[in-house]
Amino acid sequence: MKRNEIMQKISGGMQQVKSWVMRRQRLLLVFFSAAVLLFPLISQNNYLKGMLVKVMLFSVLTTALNVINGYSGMFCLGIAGMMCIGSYTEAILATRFGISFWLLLPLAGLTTAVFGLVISIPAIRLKGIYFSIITMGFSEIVRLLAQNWTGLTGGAMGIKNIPHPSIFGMKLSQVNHYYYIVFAILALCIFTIRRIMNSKVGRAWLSIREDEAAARSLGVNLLRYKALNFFVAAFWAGVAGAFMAPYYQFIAADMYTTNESFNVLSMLIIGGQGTMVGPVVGSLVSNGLSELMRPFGDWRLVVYSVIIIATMWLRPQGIAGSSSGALTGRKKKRRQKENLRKAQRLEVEV
Amino acid sequence: MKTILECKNLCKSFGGLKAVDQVNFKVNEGEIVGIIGPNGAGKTTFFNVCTGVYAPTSGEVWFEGKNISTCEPDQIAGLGMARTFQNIKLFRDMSTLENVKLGFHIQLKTTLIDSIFHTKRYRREETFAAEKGMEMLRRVGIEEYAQMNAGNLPYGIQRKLEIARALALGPKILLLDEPAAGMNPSETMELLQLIRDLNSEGLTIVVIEHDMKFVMSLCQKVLVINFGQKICEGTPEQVTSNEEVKKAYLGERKTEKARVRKVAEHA
Repeated sequence: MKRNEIMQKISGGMQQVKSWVMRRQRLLLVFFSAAVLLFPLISQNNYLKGMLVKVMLFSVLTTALNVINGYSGMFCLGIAGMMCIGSYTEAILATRFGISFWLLLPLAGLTTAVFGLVISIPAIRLKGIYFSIITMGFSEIVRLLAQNWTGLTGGAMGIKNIPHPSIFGMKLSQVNHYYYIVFAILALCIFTIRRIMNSKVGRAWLSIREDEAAARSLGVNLLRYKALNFFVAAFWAGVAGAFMAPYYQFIAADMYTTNESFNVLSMLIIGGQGTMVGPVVGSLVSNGLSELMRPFGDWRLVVYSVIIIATMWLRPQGIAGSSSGALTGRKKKRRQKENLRKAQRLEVEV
Repeated sequence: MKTILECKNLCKSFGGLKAVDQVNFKVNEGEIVGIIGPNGAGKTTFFNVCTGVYAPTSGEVWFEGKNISTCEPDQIAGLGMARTFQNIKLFRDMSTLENVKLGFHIQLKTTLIDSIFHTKRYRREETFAAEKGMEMLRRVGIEEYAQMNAGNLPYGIQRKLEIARALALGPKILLLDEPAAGMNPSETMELLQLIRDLNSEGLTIVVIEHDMKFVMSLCQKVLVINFGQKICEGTPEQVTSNEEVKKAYLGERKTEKARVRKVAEHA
């Protein structure tokens, strides 16, 4: 079979699945939430629970990245840096000053958001790959600072013994507890971003992705909305980072390399940019696959990457995606351009 | 009559190319003004300088008694100048209605906090945008396409949508860049009527168009540009009888002798 035929079959199948899902959106949402919520009560499998915590944690990160890459069409490569700031804010304030985790969660988010705003000032003036390079550079600067500023961050030794959160005097140190915390964070993250996307602000972001010149001609202040975009994304990345610190109990700078940024980026692209479920699907598929591949031993990453390449080859817009993000929409855009050209040719003939 | 838009010695050059060269031009309130000229004459560049996409190399643009030469496009839009584009610039992956809703961007004051907590203001403004948006679509006669993706619309509808989106701004002046391109004759007639209606409601309109019949039947005043320079300005009758304009559009008449000589040179 030719590639086109395979593509058509797959996209036809996906369309069916999609329309089925769309028709039962509410029901499915309730069903999945219930399943995810009840799972820890039924299961004693801590390994699987830990996996799901990781999936949900990366879902938050991918959703945050989706705000930048999927909705406003900029191509950010620095999500690890934001995560790093969030984690270190939580870890330092919790270990040195004993501030409550619940207070630190939004505080770390806000700190990261402010850093995001600062870095966005030079970054959003640039476009395309230049923007990406700046965000990547920012991420590396943050990591190197964390690694070398020994007085503040513990340097290469990292920060150990980050206290578990507690509620009404009860210490929350079980996987189950973290499971529910991260579920709440993910739900809140998706909820707020969904609401933002249905408002003037979300529309302005989409308009920037679709056509900057047209957006400006309608009075959209590009710099302001791009900065706001960065602010929101950095906030959630920071919250996810702040969750990581007590969950892993130990953080060090080498957990926040550019590799991590690419990891999150690949989840986003696999899942589908510019959609609400895309990041969750991407995180599930990516984390799930890399665990399922364990029997392959050393070949794990090879098999994993082959699967990812195949996914991209057969479904460039991502598993759940349909709209054009910064990277995946090129084919579609080309097709649209061709249509436009055809129309213009017709017009000339007429 | 009050002048709404005025260009004083407007110049815009790209390197050595003078795309707009010393253009003086006035638009009065309530007029329909046409801008014509051969391809590559600098009409669209002229629009782009007026709307702030390019900063003028020299000269000034005044809008309602305010110098807007250094303003950004979004500021100029906020002052009440709306435009459409020659190569349609819609938000292709958004629905038709959402495209129009973006036209209300300046009028809406919803903040991030409003949208997260669905405050009163959010609810009021979203209903406003949805209702007014449908009204705008009805205005240009494309309300049945409201839920379709803008990128999938037929060409003529896309043009109309762009106008509806520009109207949503609630502008004082509307700049249309080849609005009839790609439309069939009946669509062109509808467009003509729409522009007349808008004008009779007090909207000032500047239109770039190649279709001579369109311009001549619509505009009270016509500006002709060639090689970036204004070569003529006046009523349609004055313009069509102008020698310079004929030269720009039809070329110069050559004597038989000159033609033969030229052919010989080429041979």
